[in-house]
Amino acid sequence: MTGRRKWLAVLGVVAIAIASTLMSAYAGNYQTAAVAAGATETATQKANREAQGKAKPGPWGYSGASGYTNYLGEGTGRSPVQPVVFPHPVHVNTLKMNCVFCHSSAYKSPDPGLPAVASCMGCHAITAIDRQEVKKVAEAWNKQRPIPWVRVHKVPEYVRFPHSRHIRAGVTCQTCHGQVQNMPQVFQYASLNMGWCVSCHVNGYSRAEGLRLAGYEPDSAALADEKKGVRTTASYDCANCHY
Amino acid sequence: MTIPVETTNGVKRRDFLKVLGVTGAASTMVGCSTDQVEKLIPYVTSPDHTVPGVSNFYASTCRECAAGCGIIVTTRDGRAIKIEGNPDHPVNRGAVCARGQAALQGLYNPDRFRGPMQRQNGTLVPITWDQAIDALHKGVDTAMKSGKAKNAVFINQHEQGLLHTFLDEWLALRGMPAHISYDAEAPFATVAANRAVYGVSWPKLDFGAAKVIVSFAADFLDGWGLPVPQQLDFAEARGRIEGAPRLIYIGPRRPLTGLNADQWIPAAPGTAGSIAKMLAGKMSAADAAAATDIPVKILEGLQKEIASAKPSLLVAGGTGPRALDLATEVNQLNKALGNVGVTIKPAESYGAWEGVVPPAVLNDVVAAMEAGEVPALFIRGANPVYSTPTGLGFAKAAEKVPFKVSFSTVPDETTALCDLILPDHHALESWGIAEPVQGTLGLQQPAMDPVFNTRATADVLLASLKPAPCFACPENPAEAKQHASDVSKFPPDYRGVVAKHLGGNGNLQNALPTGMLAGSLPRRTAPVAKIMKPAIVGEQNGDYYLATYWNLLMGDGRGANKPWLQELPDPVTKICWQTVVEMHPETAKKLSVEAGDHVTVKTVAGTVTAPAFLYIGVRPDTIAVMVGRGQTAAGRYATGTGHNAWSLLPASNDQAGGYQLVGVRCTVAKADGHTPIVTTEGSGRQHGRKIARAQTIEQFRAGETDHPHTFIGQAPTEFLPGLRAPVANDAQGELGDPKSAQRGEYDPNHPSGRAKRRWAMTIDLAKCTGCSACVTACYAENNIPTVGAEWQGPQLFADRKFPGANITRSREMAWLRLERYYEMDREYKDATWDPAHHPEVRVIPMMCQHCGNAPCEPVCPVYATYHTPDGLNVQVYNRCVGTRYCSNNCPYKVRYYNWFGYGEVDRAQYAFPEPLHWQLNPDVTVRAKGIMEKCSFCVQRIRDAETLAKVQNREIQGDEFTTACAQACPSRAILFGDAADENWSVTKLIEDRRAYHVFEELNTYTAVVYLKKINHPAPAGATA
Amino acid sequence: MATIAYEPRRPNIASANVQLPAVPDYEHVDDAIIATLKPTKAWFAMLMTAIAALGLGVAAFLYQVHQGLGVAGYNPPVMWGVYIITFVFWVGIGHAGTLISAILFLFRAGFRTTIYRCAEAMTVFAVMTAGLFPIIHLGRPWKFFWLIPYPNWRLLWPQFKSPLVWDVFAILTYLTISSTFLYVGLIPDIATLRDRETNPVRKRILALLSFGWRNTEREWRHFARAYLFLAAVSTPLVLSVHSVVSFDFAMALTPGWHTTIFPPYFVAGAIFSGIGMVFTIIIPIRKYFKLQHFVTINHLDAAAKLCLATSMIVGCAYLIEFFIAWYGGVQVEQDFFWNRVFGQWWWAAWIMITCNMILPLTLFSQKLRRNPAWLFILSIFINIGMWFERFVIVVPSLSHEFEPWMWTTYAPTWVDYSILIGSFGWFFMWFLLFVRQLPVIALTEVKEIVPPRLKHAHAHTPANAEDFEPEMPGDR
Repeated sequence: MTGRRKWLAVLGVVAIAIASTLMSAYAGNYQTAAVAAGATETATQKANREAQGKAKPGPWGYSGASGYTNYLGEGTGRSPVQPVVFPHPVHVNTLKMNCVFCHSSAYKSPDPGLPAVASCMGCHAITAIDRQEVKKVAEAWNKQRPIPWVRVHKVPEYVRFPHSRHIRAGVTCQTCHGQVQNMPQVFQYASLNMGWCVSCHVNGYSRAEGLRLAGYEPDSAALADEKKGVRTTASYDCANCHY
Repeated sequence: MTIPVETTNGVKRRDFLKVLGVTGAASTMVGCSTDQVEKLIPYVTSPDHTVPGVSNFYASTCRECAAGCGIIVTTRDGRAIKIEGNPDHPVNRGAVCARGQAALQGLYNPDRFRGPMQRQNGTLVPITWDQAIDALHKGVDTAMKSGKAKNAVFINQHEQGLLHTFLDEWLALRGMPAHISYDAEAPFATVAANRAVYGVSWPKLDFGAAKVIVSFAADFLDGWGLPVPQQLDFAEARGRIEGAPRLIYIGPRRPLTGLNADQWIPAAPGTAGSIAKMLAGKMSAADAAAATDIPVKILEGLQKEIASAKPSLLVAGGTGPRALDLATEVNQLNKALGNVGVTIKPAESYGAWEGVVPPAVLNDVVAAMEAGEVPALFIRGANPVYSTPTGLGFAKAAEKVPFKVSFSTVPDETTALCDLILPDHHALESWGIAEPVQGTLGLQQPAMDPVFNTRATADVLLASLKPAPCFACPENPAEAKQHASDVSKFPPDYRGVVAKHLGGNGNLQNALPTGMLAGSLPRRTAPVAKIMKPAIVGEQNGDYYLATYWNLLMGDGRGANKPWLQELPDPVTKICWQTVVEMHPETAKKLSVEAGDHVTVKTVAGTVTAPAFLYIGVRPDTIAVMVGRGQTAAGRYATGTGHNAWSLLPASNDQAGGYQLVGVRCTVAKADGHTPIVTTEGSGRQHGRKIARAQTIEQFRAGETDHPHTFIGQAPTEFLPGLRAPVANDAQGELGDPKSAQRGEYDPNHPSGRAKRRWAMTIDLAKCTGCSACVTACYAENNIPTVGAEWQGPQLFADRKFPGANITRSREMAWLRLERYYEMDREYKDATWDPAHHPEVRVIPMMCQHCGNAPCEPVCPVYATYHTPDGLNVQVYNRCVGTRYCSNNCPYKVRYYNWFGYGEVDRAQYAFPEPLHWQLNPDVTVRAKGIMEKCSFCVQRIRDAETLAKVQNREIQGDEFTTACAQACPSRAILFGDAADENWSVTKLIEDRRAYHVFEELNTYTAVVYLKKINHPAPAGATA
Repeated sequence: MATIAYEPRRPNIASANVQLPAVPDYEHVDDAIIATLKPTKAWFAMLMTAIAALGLGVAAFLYQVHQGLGVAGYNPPVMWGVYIITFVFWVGIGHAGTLISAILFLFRAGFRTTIYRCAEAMTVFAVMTAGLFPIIHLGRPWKFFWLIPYPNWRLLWPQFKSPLVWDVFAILTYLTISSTFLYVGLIPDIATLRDRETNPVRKRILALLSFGWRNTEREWRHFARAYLFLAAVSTPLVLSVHSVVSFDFAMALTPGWHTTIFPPYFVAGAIFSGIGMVFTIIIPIRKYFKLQHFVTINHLDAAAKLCLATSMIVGCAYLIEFFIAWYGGVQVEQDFFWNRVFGQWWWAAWIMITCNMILPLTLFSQKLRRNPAWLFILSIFINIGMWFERFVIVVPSLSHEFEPWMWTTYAPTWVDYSILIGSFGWFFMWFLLFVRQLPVIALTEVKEIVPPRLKHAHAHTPANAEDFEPEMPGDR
């Protein structure tokens, strides 16, 4: 075997190694929603893509099982069509409604909660009753049936994620759920896999960043911390979430 | 809460219930992505005081036995998931027994009736409630028209409370006699004697006040009377070591009470009465000795002891032919000894047995039915076809009744006969009142919306009162008016009836939070049974006495379709999923039978062929068989499991009208066939391993103790469990690292202070009676699968096709097991009979010891088990690959492995068939196949408490929460807490003189500390 | 004055007569040995049998993966069973090869020459078999890679304190080294095959495999050095691998496992079982392919002595275990050992003792030592005995531990047995394919101990060939 051949072989091996590394590293951010849409892209999906473009995705990476994120990391960006097209931008940006107005138990329960149909009807009994989607809500209310929303964010069954603790710790919704206020149709923003969780627990959370993501001006304390480079770390003991 | 029914888009009721479940309720933890689309179903209108993902608590009353304990039902997102004792309740003071816990499996029983059904040409077909009520009052109508309405029979499972009055009123309105409140488990002889001597049906028995307790065949720790309060008092008394009462048990078989007794006097069946006579001085010790086949010295010793030790407490619970004589004798003896008012308190009486009717009345009922005199038979809850002696022939007679209605919630042998099934709500779905303690009302309220399309019996009866056109309305207007007014007296539904009794809806609402209020119920004068002479029909042949008994789990058969109770080993024999014939090893030798060989027991009434079981706690001339198993049509778990011992009993009663369970003569013969004994017991002896330790009260007084215990070359062991654990064993070993200060929370000085916590547990063996309530509590809290059902067994082993097959391969999953050790020097089969000496028995709950220096941790190749900084030895299910090395290296053998996919819906071994999985605790992962699991010290409760404290910006308070086992324990033997924090009471007991670790010499530094059992030998003079 | 009386020397390991007088010349070596490569009906039959057995094993494994480990005969707390036993068994088999080819090579024990190729191949295939079992016995086999340290940003690593992780490294290392060793030894032989090959395709493949071996003096020098170095590298592995495997047990608390004697005891046992397997394989081969004049009685005799020696070490280890149990005075330990031989598990223990301690003692008799038939029968007993040795170590310890309440028994099911059979199928499949493709006896090294032609011409050749002492290979 001549020298050149030998080196070719070596290079080949190196190339394969790099390729596999890249594949696994980027798997975490593999997008499916837009792809699945096929040739014709609806306005919603277009808006989604832009929203995603704006939103800086969480740390990329490959880890084992996770809610909708399988071994290929598919799941991030999945954006199921909801029974009622609920425009978060209108409610949050235009009407300046706070997240916990509807997801009312997020700060006192492991479970953020979805608004009951009654809550929707609180306003929509009188406002925007002529809209197509609102009519659906009204119909559900008249039939006394709930609205079967399609789940977007999900961690596996063997993971305990108490929303209350994170909210109490000052983590803003947008940190994990992305710029929901800019999403005409909500999509899964972060990979929600374990590596993604741990990276924040270990490297710490910066309140200033979180506040900015949520569209607030960071308060002085947050800014001071940021200047000092102080980030709030959390325990990454397995039995915090797995039991 | 508003929970709509089926919707068009295929979303099921249960999805509405599992509102926003971010938790692993009905799903497993298999490590792969869940691609199926999951729906999030919000409420239509969110109910008050309900936060998704946060539990609600409803105070109610337990209806699993007559005692009427107060319970608190935990509900999450509309599903009841756990039953705990109500700490403020006078009866059970926060404790709850295994049967009470298992009420949930009655509620979610997969075999429950989904809705009303009617028998049309032989088969039951579903009907609507309108049709059902129509059918009901048509039936009642014909019954009344037939003119025999006065012979109609309404048999109700005895549940002491307001329902008695209501039913009687309703029946009266229909010209029918008062209903029969039936309970095969009620100790009628004792009740009758109590009424006669004390004037109340069930006085409070204060075990704590007595110096010596003598139980005449009263198994007051395992089902006799009111199990929970009795056990609470007894355990409390034994727990205060000094002046603890000595317990003597008299009876042919040694039940749980006998195992806890310091002395067992194995009197021949039905002869305990002569011992009572002797104590009363009506009989000489010699005669008594002759009658009971007990060495006279022992009886004289007993005589002396009773004479000297005052106050004493004598309880009688015989089920022999002369049980009433015995009970009366004993009660008079108590009077004579001046125990009444001291250890026996008629003033504070329990209402459990108010209004119960002796089963002897069934003799008349059967006769009437045979004669075709009975126009209609109503049955609610009770299962007389099964839970009556086969000799009575209830089933055959019932065939002759034209109109048979059942209000039972679950199918059983009785409903199999009925023409009309009007399923009642389960007790956890219904309203009600009980008077468990004189002057206190216990409220029963629905903890959740009905699981199925059922209706409260009372509501059904009320609905059938107001039919159109009015049937059975008297012709002449006056009576008609009267009738109308009678009808109009009734509120629209039973809730209304309850409210009315409490004096208005307001009072009801105010009572709901505590579930209790002062008040009393109208006393019911129960129809007196025709007492048969205490002789047994048919000539008595056979050289053995038959002693049938029931335990708290199966009861008279009502527990048989609940997998938790089937799987929970009997506290005495440690047998589950099986009926065995208990015989003394000597008897077995005589019959040349070995454990597991089939034997046939034959009485005048019938025969049973079952595997033999060598039990050293039964007289050689007696054969013991437990009733409660061997049903033929009572649901998937009960049907075909074990054998029916009722079929051995002839229709004979004691003088009080109760069933005669003991003293029937029988023959025993070896049959062919062999079945492995389904038991969790490996070796019943300690082989000197010092696992369950005990010392006599003298040794304790003398200050004998095992410590300071030293290892060669080591400092003396301190009893701060795990606080001195070699810290190199926590997850990342940081504590062992000098630079741990930079290691975040693992730094001992970290503000979170978690590294300073050490969760620990103490178990007081002086209190523990081995009742096993903690085990069922653990099953309920931690989603532990039951593995004993026949279809869960390994089908591939030709020799293992019977219920409990998995358990014969010791694959039970109980994270917490109760070990029962006999202090004897030989195997059971070599045991010999000596009426004077019986091995001491020690029970010890064994669960993961959460070692500070855990052998399981370093051997796990993937860190699936490791040590948390707060001292827990945790198992990370989703990391486990299943090498099982941890179990191999565990000296306590407390790790359990998922051999099959017990948690996977599509598997034959699935342990939670719908709707049983509604009970699953959403905070605990349901484990998949191929992984290890074990006691977690209820880590989910710890984390919840931490989260709550964090959310409320405070530290965790001392004794703020406890584990499921500790919460349930009716002996209050288990105590859980933070051994590093003085505010937790566990820290006091850890320092106790009786404290010890199991297998201390292995340097495991366990977090579970046991306190030695204390034995009370017979005082000088009395020989034991 | 002294008269020199001729006394024939009895052969012994140090100076066994390894010469092959019955082999006329080098050509015969090639002819006779390469003749083994011709496929025969019998060979096909055996291969089919092996593959069928393998198929059975695979089917059983798939069934087990689907149903769960419950289908195997586990009876908690006996959490390890046939799979771990068989794992240790095969790792043990895998030891004789390297011992014979490396250690004996360094010790210049000439008798190895004709048997080492078989032994080496056996080693590689045995380790390949053993390597499967740690995965087969997992509850979630598809997650086996979690035992391998690979960087992931979940910050998760294997527990390096766990002997099971050590196993992963030990087995993989051993597999790498022993297969390299086998291959390097094969290079000149492959070249020979290449030269004799007529089929152009096979010729090309063989040419590649032989790295274009041209039989130059320079190549020979490099070859000899490389072989020597590899021998030196793999020698410590023989000792280390099975020591590590023994740690699986020795590191645990379990009575009967928790003992320091395990590493030497396991290594000796491994070599013992390995030699047993060598006999089981080489004796039929030499008979079937008529190679008796290559693998002479002398060689078997010498190997038998090695077998006897290791057997006695193993037996000694058994006895010492009992002594320590008694001498240590730990009651749990004493109970356990009593139970092992006189209790529940007496039959397994006595099978082990009979096969591994008592029967091999027959090898003290030279007659039996030089009787291939007996050696073959004995080797079968040794294989059985060594499997039961591992059974006696694994099962009774777990079934009779500290906690009397959890004392149980154990009975394998058809799944266990099928997978056990499957492992033999897998092993023999590879070996049969090897026999068919490559020389089972090292051509080149054998030629080194064939008496050169010119020596035949010598007048004063001793009458009896026994006195002939050749130089050892590699010295030339």
